[in-house]
Amino acid sequence: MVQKDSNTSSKADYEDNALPDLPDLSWMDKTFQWGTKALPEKNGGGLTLDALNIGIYGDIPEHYPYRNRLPRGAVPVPSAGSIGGYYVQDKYEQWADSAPHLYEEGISRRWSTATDIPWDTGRGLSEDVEIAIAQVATELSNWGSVESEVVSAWLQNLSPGYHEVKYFLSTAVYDSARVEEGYRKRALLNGAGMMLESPGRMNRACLETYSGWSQTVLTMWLLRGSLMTAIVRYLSVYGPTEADRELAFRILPDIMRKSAYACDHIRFAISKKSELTDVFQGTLQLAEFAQLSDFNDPVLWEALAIIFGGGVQNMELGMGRVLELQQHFLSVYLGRCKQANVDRTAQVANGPWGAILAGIPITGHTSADEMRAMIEEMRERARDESAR
Amino acid sequence: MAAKASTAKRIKFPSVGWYEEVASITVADQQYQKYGRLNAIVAFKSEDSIIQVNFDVLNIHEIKEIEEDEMRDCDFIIELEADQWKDMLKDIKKNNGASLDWTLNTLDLKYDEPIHRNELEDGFKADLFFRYIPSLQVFFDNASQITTRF
Repeated sequence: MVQKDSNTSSKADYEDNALPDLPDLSWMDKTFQWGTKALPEKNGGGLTLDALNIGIYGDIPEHYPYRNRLPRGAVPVPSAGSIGGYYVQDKYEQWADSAPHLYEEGISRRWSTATDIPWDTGRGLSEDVEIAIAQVATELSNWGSVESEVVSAWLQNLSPGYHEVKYFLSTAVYDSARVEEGYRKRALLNGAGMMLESPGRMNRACLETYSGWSQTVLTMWLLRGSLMTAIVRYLSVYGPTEADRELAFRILPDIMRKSAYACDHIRFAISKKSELTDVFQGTLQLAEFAQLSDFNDPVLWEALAIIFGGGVQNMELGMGRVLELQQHFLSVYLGRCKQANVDRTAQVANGPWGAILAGIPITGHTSADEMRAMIEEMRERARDESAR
Repeated sequence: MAAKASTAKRIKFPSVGWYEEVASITVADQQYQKYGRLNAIVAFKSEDSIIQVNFDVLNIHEIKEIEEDEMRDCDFIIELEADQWKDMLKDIKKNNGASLDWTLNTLDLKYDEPIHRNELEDGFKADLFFRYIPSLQVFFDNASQITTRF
């Protein structure tokens, strides 16, 4: 805005001294709603994002047309133009009612792997268990890295009109980075170091889901997130040291916030466009193939079996717990799918995952044909028993 | 962790008074505050006794007995048999906090059925259990500071 030159003033005071023109302060009334006053929460919650969504500022549009950084509720200026970004402009593509709350929760419940984990308790393991936990730590660290990169990449595409979602996703980037660095620290704690990376098919599925943010959420947080939940839960109870259990225990709530956003968002998207149900079912089917492919890599399962069994010599025992973990994963996954309104119960029960439900772990040690034969044998036995 | 002095008064579990006593210790607990905000109305069930507690940001209040059909209004329910509550609280007293076998997390995973649920099978609300589990564990660990009678 160009202000008038004070030298050209024609105003004067009572002694005829020239007075400068007042600056043009017309910008001061450029607000859509004057007098909006947000109130802090009671009980120590402070001034939260939810509390700001009042008056016109609580009006969250179905479509946000501005392809620049215009903050929701601010007055647009033509010179800002379009930077051609932020192409995810519809509410159904990103919104979740819980996002503002999840953001506040994530910020309030922040923690540090450096000082909140009793690292000195993480020592004294036998060499095989130490190597096994380093292997698991390497893979989890890898998954955390992928998550933080995927969310970061999508952030620049999501419209700033839904800032609550972007704020929450910023905490998710941090939470995922914490998984990455926390498990990197674990791998390097006692000398085993970083081991084999993940097979990578699921990593690629998360990184390369270009069809939409919702599809990425399905792949990364409904499916892979369920597996991460199951592994972290089992490590929080059956981890080999207090440090391992505490690290997993502290990561669990962070994962659950991402799951909450994911289920809430997918449910919202379907409530706005019911035809998305089929699209999302297809996305999950493809993602399940990628996940299944990773399941057939034995490294992670062998490492977990060594941890749960307490050593290589008790791997068989540990494999029993691996099966429990895989069943827990499916239970978490199907629960989340139902919560998100994309039920996958029948597809999972009748597809390759059915082996796990029937009591046969998928660990890459058995071929698909062998597995089918085992399932058929089990069914036959069950039929015989019921006939008797 | 240094042992904290327990109150001499013996308080019956389960009762509104017992939860109020633990709540008053917990809201002043620095670890509880450090774990951050939570928002959940939780019912704790031990056979016929159901006590509802409102974990409201950093406050814990509105502790009251409720009826079975009021559990649907709670975000989630934590249910154990009377003997399991007793053993858990004895372990907490003995170890100045739950040992690994008696944490809420372990019990929820190890038993055939999870110890938590939402009465209307609302997964979003049931999952609050996991979002807030470190805070809930501090709450029960603080039972080591009172003398509980069963």
